[in-house]
Amino acid sequence: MICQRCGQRQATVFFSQTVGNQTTQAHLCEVCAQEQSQTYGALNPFAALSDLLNNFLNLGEGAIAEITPGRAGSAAVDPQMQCPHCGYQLSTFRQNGRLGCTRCYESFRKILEPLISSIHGTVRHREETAEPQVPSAAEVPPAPGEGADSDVQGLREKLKQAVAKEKFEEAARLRDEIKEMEGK
Amino acid sequence: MAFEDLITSNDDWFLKSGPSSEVVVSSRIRLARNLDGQKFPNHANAEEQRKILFLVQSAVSSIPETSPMKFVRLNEISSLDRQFLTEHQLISAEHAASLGERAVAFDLKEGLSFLINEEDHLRLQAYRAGLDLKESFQHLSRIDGLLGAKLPYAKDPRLGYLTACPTNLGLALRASVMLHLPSLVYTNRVGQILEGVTQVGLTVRGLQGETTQVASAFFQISNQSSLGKVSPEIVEHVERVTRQLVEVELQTQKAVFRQEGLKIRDRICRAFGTLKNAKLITLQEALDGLSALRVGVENNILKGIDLPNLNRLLILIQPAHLAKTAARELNPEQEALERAKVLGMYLKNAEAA
Repeated sequence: MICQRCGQRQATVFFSQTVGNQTTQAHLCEVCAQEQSQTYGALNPFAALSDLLNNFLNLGEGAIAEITPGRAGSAAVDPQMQCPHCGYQLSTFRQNGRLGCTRCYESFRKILEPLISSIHGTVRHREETAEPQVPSAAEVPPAPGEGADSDVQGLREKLKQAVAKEKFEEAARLRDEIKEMEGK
Repeated sequence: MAFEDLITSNDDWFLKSGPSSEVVVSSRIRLARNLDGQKFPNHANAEEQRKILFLVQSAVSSIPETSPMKFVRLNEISSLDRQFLTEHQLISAEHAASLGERAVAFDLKEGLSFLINEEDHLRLQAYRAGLDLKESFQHLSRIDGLLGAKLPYAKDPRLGYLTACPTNLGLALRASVMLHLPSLVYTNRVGQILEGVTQVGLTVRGLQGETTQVASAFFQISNQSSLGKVSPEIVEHVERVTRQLVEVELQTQKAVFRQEGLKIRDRICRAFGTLKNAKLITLQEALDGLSALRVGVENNILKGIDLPNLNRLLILIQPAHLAKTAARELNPEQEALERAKVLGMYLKNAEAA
């Protein structure tokens, strides 16, 4: 899924913060998470992206219309909508995150697709015989001269690479360095 | 059937040791499958559930590789027995708690368990000791292929296998490993490192799976999504991250022993003394102690007990196993007493070097 803050990079971190009785939740990319963490405090390593569905469901009635911007008729989704095949109600899905039958995916397609896309980052199943994908931009090493580690931008670049290469210890160290520099 | 037999069985999968067993307790592959056009179990009525159960059971029992599987209908056994199966990792807590026509088919020697009418019509699980996701996946894939030839799996060209919960779409494949990371916990680095793991698209959980509670130094990591990916990619990704965690843990362990060897030895020997001699012991204290004992065994500080038996103890000290061993219901104090007895028995011949 795409970062809800910058709307550009892949979201890899789930953010949840409760202040008083108000809870703020967001799915962020690494870079935005760094910036937010200055304001919101430490990240919880156990809040995984798979919690997304629960959070989506907790957002309440407005959520489905919200995540389908620009789609004709999306605001007029009928919560009483039923799967013609099994009689399952859309409102039940909103309560428990589970569907009624295998045909529900077809019946509620318009509503489910944006959700599936935000959970998985895609709505395209790949058959096992498919060719491996070309590496994404995040995995391509930067051109020489980019990413001097003297500044925060450089560190962020390194952080992105460390995350892409799954060097998480290095990523965590870089994140702390960035935090420290930004704290100054 | 007599589940008590499982307590003393000596050919369970978790009594073997596998690659990187010193850090990776176990590997598990899970596939979710549903029958086309049918209601998912939680929306189906008893008769519809029975029909699915019958179809799936017939297919499972006709597979040559799985012929000696034990088949248990969960509504025919007590809640204690269901908890027992959960502790043995044969069914999920959700499966144990649900009413209706639910069942499990399992083969402990092969590390296979097939959950019928859990959240999905069929969930296939294959366990292996140590880090062995690839083997485990190939094994389960073969069985899945045979079952798929007999059962009309629900599959969409765009969404892959259709599952009750949209988070499982795609290959409906979950590859997970249970890790023991005592040195990272001891040096307070585990939070930071596991946070990094979540940044590369994996999920971190505590010992019992679905909850986020962390029990001692035991953690589970798994892939989050299997839509838009191919299986070797997912399996390799989880294995690669796991290998890195194994290396970090072992390096940290070495460093900790170099710098604070005496202190660590002291902790291990104290934990050993407690587990061997306590008269009453809680589950949490026992888990913490077993974590220390694992480190002791790996570093030749403790003799007369091995990792497979420590793996076995992780299961035997759970409440339903203690109740089954004692053959009666236990109040908390009796449970603590029985737990201490089991530990004392297994550690009878063990000693600190």
